[in-house]
Amino acid sequence: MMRALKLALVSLFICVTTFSAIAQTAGNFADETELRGIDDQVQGLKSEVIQINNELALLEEKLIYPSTTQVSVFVSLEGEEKFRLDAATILINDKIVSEHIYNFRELQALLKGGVQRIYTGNVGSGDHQVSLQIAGQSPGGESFEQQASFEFTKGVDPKFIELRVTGDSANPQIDLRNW
Amino acid sequence: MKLLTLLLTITVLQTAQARIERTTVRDLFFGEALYYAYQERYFDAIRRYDAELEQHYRIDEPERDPFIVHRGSAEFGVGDMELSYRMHQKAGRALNRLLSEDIPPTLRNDAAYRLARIYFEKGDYIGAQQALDRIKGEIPEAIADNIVMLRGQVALTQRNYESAISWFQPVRSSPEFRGYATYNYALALMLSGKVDAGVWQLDRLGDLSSRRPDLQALRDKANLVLGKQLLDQGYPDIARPYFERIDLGGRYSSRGLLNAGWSDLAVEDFERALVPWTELRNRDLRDIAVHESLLALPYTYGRLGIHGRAALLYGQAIEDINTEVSNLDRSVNSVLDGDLLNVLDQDPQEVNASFFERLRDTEEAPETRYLSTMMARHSFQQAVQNYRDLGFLYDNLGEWLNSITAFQNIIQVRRNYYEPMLPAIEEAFEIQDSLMKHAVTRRDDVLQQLEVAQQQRDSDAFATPEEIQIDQRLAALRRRIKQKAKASSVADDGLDRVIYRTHRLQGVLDWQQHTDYDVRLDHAHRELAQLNRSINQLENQHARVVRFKREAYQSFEGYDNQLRRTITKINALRTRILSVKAQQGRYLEKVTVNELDLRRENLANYISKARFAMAESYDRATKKQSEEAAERILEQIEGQPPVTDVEALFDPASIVETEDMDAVSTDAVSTDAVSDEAGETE
Repeated sequence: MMRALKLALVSLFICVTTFSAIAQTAGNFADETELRGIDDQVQGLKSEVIQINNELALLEEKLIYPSTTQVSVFVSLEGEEKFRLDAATILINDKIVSEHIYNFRELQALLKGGVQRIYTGNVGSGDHQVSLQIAGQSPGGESFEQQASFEFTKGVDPKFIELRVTGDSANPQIDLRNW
Repeated sequence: MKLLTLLLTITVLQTAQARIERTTVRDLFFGEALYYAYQERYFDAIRRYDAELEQHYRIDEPERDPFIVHRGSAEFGVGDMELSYRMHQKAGRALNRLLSEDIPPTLRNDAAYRLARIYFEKGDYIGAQQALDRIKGEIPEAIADNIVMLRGQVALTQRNYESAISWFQPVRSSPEFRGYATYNYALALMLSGKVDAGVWQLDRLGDLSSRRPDLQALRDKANLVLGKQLLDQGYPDIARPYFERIDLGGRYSSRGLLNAGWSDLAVEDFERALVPWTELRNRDLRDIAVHESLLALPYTYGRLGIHGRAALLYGQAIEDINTEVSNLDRSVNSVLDGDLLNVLDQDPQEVNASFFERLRDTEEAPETRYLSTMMARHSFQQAVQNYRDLGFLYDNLGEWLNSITAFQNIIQVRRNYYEPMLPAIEEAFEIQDSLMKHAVTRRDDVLQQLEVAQQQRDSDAFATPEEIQIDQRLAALRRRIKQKAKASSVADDGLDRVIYRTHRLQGVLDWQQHTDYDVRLDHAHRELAQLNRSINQLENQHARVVRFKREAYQSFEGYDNQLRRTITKINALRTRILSVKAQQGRYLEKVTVNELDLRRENLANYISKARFAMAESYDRATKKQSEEAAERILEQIEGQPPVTDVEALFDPASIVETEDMDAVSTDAVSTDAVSDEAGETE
């Protein structure tokens, strides 16, 4: 019986691999060819749109956020896996400039090492203050809030500030890193 | 092709699983790109990756850029994102570019592996093999198993089964490839002729215990494949336990139940066959396996001789199939009316994965009723994603058009503000510029004089205005004395006293200047430093005015042509996008309607078979009841008073309910009459 089974399976698997491709109907083949042609065009369009996006992003930066006044604030998270950050607020010179509520995907992206550009704007040269307020929940379901303020000096070059949230939900810390 | 589809599926799963690790960011903008990549917002991620890489390659000393640390992973990262965004061409070009450079062996091998994966996923197995052949020397540990797995997969496609066996064998114990390597290993063994060893491997895989949903599905698939082949080759009793192993809540559950029933039927255990098919017939009518069970179940009742029940179930099957045909009709019409594309056009900004998740809630709508079934096909899924991506690209460019209009407004406002102001600023600037140049020239002269005086220790150079005046008066006095002395030939005591006094005064003056030299030199240096500070302030002010002027001009000059060209380019791109989107939409509609039409044809075939079988079942039931009634009449004639109401014995209701029938139906339904899914399980 095992011999019969062996022979049957050998012939069967060979048939499957050899003839299944041949057995494609002419219609399916035409569909595949059509799809491949469209796919090639789609890939080309994606490249062109990405390129034009980069050009326009540079133009936007030059027009709206010139380097002499540009300031960008980034938020990163170096917390434990269960760190739940719900919202973040950025203040520059005690004025709210950006507020963000995090969805699941965004929080996961931060926890995996992604850095969020939360604000880009303009300030004059000189000394300023940036503040970050965060709110979230601990693994036990308790709400937490934390706030920290830092001084920074704006010169003629664009200013990039990273505000890092570290620690855990029970005791979150915020520190600043100038780039 | 289906075998290859499975291999492809495995590769895609591996790619998805490989993106979980936390990355340590040493470049802010690389981190920003990752933020989007981890959210599967591929377009945004690629755009930022591209911008960062482009900027890195443009700088004069890229090795001093902090981004250099991430360059390799960014090249691979953008490649991964491009693959996820189905931009294989661009990803392949980038990796080929990297491979053409002088890079460390580990980076080269990583790039070659990724390139091979791209070729493999696009079905270019020769290209994949050539890319794998470029891997030499030290291999990064993180991808060592991936390379071995891919080598095995490529060998399998090349029918180099012995080689495939040797590649798959060691990676079966890899946590990442657990199950998948075993499945491919089993296939390679069987294809190479070592069938019993392959069957044993599949049998082991079919008994795998895991909490991972993907491995549970793979386990069920192994059982289905093995069971189906055994059933088709005439070993239903061996096949049955494999179908029983399949999870009743899993994606292969329906096909497992269907084939379990056929296994029972093949060994003529009709009552046992009723169990899986009764369960199956109550499931979702969109499932093809359910269609088959609708006829298989009454067929089995017929084989049991329960023709009344069989007839009833055939009737219900016809009703159910008609309902499903109506659903298909509505869906086809809805698709032809453009409703499917309207649904796919919704929320192009939403990530595809969450959009499709949300669509499941609207599955009862005619246009989306069969979408999830269609999405099981890789090519259809790709077409749907492309269609939505095109919608996203179109909207993205539309938003930029709005932004450009805003840019133009901003530029106009700035022009209106600066243009009247700039001529006066220019005039004031020219005056300030010439004053500054004059001051700098004067400072340079003073500096030079100071240096000369210091070298020659010239105390006169530091004389105060008062001292200079005194010095001049003394010089004038000496001239007059000299003239007077020339005019008088006799000695004059008064003149001698004056000469003496003049010499004394000159001596006092020289002494004062000489003794104060160091103090005055120090003072002069301090004065010069103060002057330099003032000039520096002036130069800074000058630079600020120059920058202000430049920024003022740059804020509105030189954009008009650029923006006009960009608008033209965007409009042309949007037209092309619409054209390709229309092609993709027509493709989706055509493929969907063809599939639904095929289902309608199959169901129409089922209905005619069911009608015939139902009529036959009624005939057999009626015949049987007639015979029984005749027997009862004969018994009554023989032993009891005659019956007058014979017709009551032929109540149709009693025929349907009667289950005690023994006639055997032969050709009402056979395994040939339903679609064979063996191919689908491969």
